Amino acid sequence: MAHAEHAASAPILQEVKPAVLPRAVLVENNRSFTWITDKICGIIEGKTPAWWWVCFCVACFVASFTVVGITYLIATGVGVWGHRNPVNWGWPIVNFVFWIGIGHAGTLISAILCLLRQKWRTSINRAAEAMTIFAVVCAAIFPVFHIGRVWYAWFLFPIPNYNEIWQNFRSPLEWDVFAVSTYGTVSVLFWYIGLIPDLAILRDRFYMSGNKLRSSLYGFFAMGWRGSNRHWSNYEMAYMILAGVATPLVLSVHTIVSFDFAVSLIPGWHTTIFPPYFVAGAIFSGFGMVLTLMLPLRAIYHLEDLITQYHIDCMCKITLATGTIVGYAYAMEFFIAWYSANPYEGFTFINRAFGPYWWSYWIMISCNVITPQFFWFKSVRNNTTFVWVLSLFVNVGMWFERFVIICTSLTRDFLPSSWGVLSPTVVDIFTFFGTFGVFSVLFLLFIRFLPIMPMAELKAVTPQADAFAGDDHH
Amino acid sequence: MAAQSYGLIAHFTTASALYKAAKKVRDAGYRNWDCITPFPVHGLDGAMGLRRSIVPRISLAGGLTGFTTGMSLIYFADKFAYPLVVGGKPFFSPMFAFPVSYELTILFTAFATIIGMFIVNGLPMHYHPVLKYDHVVRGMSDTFFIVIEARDPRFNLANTRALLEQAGGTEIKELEA
Amino acid sequence: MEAETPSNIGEVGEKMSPAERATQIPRGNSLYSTPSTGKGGFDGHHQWGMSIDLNTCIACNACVVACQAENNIPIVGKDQSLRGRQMHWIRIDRYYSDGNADAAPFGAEGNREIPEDPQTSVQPVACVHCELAPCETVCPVNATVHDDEGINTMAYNRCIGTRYCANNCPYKVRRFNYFDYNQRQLDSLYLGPMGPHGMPELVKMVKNPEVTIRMRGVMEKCTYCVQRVENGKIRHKVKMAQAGTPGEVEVPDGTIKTACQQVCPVEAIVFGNILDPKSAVSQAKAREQDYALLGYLNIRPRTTYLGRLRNPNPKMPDYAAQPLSRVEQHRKNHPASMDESEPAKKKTPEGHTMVPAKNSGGLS
Repeated sequence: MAHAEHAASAPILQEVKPAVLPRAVLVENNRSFTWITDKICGIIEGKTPAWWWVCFCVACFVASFTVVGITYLIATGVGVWGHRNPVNWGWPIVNFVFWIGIGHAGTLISAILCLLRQKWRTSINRAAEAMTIFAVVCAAIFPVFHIGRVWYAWFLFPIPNYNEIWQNFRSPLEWDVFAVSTYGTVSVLFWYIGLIPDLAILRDRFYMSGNKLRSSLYGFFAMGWRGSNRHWSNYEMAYMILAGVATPLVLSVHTIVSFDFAVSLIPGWHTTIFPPYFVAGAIFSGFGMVLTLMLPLRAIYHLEDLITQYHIDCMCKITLATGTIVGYAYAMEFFIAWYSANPYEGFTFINRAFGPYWWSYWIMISCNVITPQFFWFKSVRNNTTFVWVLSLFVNVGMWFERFVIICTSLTRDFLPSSWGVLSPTVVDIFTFFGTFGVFSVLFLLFIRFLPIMPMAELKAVTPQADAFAGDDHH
Repeated sequence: MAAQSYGLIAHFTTASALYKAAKKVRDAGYRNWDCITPFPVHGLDGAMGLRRSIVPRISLAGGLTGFTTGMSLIYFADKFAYPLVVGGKPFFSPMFAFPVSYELTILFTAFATIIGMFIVNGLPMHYHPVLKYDHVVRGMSDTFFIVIEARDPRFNLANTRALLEQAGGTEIKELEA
Repeated sequence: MEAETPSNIGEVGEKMSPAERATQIPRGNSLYSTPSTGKGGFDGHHQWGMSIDLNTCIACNACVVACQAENNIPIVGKDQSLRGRQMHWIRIDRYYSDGNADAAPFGAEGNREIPEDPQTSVQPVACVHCELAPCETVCPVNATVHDDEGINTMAYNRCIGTRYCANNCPYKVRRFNYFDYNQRQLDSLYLGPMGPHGMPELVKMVKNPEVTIRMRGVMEKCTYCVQRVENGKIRHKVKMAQAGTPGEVEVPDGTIKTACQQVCPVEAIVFGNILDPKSAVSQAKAREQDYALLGYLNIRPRTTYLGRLRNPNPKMPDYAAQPLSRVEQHRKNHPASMDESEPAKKKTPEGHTMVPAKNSGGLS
């Protein structure tokens, strides 16, 4: 390596011959810049494949469940869902936390891994950020529409109203309003900034091939980007700052979502472990969803050279790490409930495991604690199909975790006279599954019309991008 | 060309070639010039003699504005405009005002960063002589250019062209304005 | 008679009188200080409180009915009741004892199975108007806030129905209008806008004009009959002004009665001004049996309970080795028929078989 030569003056090094730490190859088969551009742009420039149309129609159909469900809800009342006294938050808030959690992995990949200089993020970060934005859209449906009087949702924002009354800034729901709005806005902005150089490529390619309409459309959003290094210098700085700002944002957003529960006094909710527990859980579920989305994309579009086994390995390892943290959090909650000698807290945890919802608790434990442990084994990580199946289990398990937290604690809290079991209605169930349709519609549109990988960043991590490449014998 | 040209453009095929050429152009004393790259090349800022970007200062201003906006809004609302006893909590505490202020800090930082970056870069600028160049699509994709503007005081058609050839540039052309 | 938790009002608070505690809201060693009297909160001329005596309550449910009549609480129907959406602002909690916990202090064995006639303890629970209300903190739009007289108020027109307050209430006394129970027919709630709309004329006449009808999507709960409180205060002020002493705004004790208090046949519910140490409610709260339900949560409810007592002394004439509800009640009400010389089984007027206490050890 170059270091050995520069430090040749130290005689010890000539004796020891330090081992060369191999850098992971992030783009295999030594692909050129042109190849990368053609590969990614080819997806957009080509004809829409038949499978895309099939998936899109199915997705639209499923998304209609949500549209119909929400319309029925607003017209008739929250009573069409299964809510009751004492379980005043049921599936909708579970779904909200589920989708927001999924979104967090995208920001982690874009922002946190960027700050940590993990170059392997480049092939997945565009799709992951898109996943974040679409997940936030799906998530935001629920807190907006679950309120009893949706037409007064604007009461939540500090805008003038005829009562001249302000919002309650002590309430975690009010913090949620600011947090989720900020998260959605910053995610879109961050994603868009990353898209600008790629939109410029598409603008110019469409112009060259004569498609003036598409060239103008992409060009409008490309802002006239021309690849100038003076611009790149400011751009890179802005990107770094946005990554630096998005990192505490993602941590704070799910912390604030966890405060929805932690600030209340219900046993099982009122616990300080929630912020880190929720954030770890969010990253865990988000990586599960990233794997669920990226592995089929990789197979369909033959992106094995760009999303390599190293990438899949890294994603599996993060899933394993966060899944283990989540498992540890379960154990700690249980331990502290016992150690605190608080009878309500202790009862809550016995109730979770053996009460009316025992089945959801054990699904949660098996999906979240046991299934990620498979990722210790390299043979498992190399088997892409198996990894994909495990990622589905992770998604299911994380939904059940939110269900266990929210619904079992509400079902049985302080006074037994107020205990009551939640039964979701058909509207609940269809509205939730419809959001997968909404997500799929948006994601399918994304992969059809926008570059699914950041071409500029990908090129920047190839060995050919190194300005000092010719100097040493890499 | 009869009309005043915008400047000269040269192709480079590798990042390291561009890097070395940029140093030459910088050392020759040119000011109004630029490198066109498909991705940010590390070290090129120094090779071009660029100063550090001022975007961070704009971001900082945005962040501070966001934080003070949050805290002042909540202080004004809860202490002056409409004080309410809510859950026995004090009218104002930096504790409960913090989450909202924190989010506003981040939001305003993001806005300031992006708007600042666009303004400093002079974007959007949909019409530019470089964008009219036939092969600009390759500059976005896989080739590196150096563009030296004619308005630079040291610009001389023959000498600048010779400098670029010496630095390793190929397909040196004049850009129409 | 509180749980074995340390006092959460601190040493300073322990030395205060109840009136001072209600206005100054001592926080113990908390970093927070509540806006108390003189600082923008709890400034009112009255501080309302309530005491419910569990010794006299007979669970007749008159308070439930009165509250419904006074406050225009909608009927939800059987289907919605089965789904857990009853709208009653006050409920009577029933706790059943299988005799096991009671048996040990009496030296008896305890039941092996839940008796057919278990010991019942009842507790009417309505909003207890916590001074440090957990519901208020979490409402994002300030629809539920405290007024200066200690009432936890509910602003129906501000409520957007997030239902966080209901989740955070440890007593679960908040009720949400899941449907338009007032404007829609109970058998067509799920039809929504397709169903018939409008309140029948007769139903409109039943409603109390002093109280708003709530639409769907808003939260409601016991308000200490705030319409009666305000009416009482206004009438008193007018009377005082006419009498030439406009400064005496404090309403005399007993003038303002909540609906539940007014109708309770055994006067178990007492409502009044706790700033006045001579008021009936202050005297009730001064009794040793007074306790706050879930008091350890430090939410300082204004409605406290007088704990139910039984005398376990074996020399008491109504002593039973295991306290059994029907046996107890019957003995109290029909002392002549409980002749100890006839230990054979006796039948109650309803035909229920009774076994005298000596043979107890499992009541069938």
